Amino acid sequence: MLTVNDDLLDPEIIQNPSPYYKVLREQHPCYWNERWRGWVLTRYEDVYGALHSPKMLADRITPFFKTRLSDEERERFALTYEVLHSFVVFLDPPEHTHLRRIFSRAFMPRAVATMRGVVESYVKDFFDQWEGRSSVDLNRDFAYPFPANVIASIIGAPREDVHRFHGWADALTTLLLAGVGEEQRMDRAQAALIEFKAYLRCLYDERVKNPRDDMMSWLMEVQRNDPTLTPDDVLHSCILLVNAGHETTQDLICNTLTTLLQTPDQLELLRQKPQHMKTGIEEGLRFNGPLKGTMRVAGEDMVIADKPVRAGDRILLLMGAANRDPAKFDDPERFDATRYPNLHLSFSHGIHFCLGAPLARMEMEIAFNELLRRFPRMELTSPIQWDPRILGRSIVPPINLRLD
Amino acid sequence: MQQRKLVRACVDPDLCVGSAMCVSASPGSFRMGSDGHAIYVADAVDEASALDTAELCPVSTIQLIYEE
Repeated sequence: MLTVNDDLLDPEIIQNPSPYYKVLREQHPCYWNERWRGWVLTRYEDVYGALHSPKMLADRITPFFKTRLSDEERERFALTYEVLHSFVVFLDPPEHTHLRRIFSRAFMPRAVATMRGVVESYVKDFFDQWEGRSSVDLNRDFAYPFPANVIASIIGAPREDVHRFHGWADALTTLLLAGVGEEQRMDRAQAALIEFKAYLRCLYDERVKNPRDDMMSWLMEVQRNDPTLTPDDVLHSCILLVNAGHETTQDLICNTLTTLLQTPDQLELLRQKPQHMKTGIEEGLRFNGPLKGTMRVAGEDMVIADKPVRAGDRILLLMGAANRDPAKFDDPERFDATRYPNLHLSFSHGIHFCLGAPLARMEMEIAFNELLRRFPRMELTSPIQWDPRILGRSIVPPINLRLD
Repeated sequence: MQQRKLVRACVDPDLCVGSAMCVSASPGSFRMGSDGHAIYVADAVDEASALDTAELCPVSTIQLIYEE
């Protein structure tokens, strides 16, 4: 048996994780990564099982703060802990159930449908600005600003404030999705949280006087009828929303379009037959979804693939590997825009299934239909360099496209 | 509103993502099966609550079945 590389940020693995995933799936389905200090799961069945298991805890914030920080740091970053600890993605039942239910009302498919017109007009605006240009940066000129604009509209923030969201979301993403060599990332994240929360507080106070048809107002409506929900819950949930809906969608756009540009027959298929766009987008999610993995903490001792996992152990669930498991997907290394069914795990599964999935799907469908229709000659003119991250899968900008 | 009577709800196990939203919204009507998917288990049907629950499903996979 070959030795397994424990460096999850090894440039070769970052550029093309597939061969690494294959070795783990086939030879070490439950692998102890000494360098990362945790177990790594790669088979579809095991990742799926872990996402559905009540013994797998989503709160990895508390163990981190309790065991990895000094007393002094714990005190200094108390606010960061407080905010992160109230994020529904890091909660376990019963707290999770309560907050999730409230939150999902603001994100239910019907509410997303009311956003359709807003999304359509943003997409049109952005691509109008592409007309007549010979080249663009996909990231800077669309993928980066577009989801932030949509999220700002959902929350009810004015469009001229969107640029501020970027900095706040970047700081938090760096903390949560583990950038490397970022010594100051906790300080940066905390500074961003303080500013962001103060900003949202102003918006909140304004809505108390003048409720509107936006998510801040809906959440406040729920809060008025539910004494267990505090104004902080509303503010923190908005911070989570901006963060969750920002970079993930940005990466999904970039990853999917560049994959298509490198698979010209599939791009052409979607251009000729836009009725396949829905399955094409699901395939984009499966093939190069914005998150390669997510983390859980074992809630009790258990055995996974014959390995003894102890209570408190960290577990990395590699959805990226599960999504290419031949036991679940035929010809998994092939991008097939018509693949159906496509039960990928890129939105997670179980009680933490992405609340924003209906929104992301709608944003993608509208954007890609418009993009493929209006710029049929689009070509990729810069090399694809993947950013070294453990959980995220993101392309280093710029992503240059020639349009004519 | 139509006159037809709602007889039951059903969850498509292939589409269900196990978010358990229906179980938290209507614990009497839905429960999670051992495979991690929701199952409709109610004896009596409350139309308002069924509609409300169907709307909360993040993948819109709760189907309401009306009497013909």
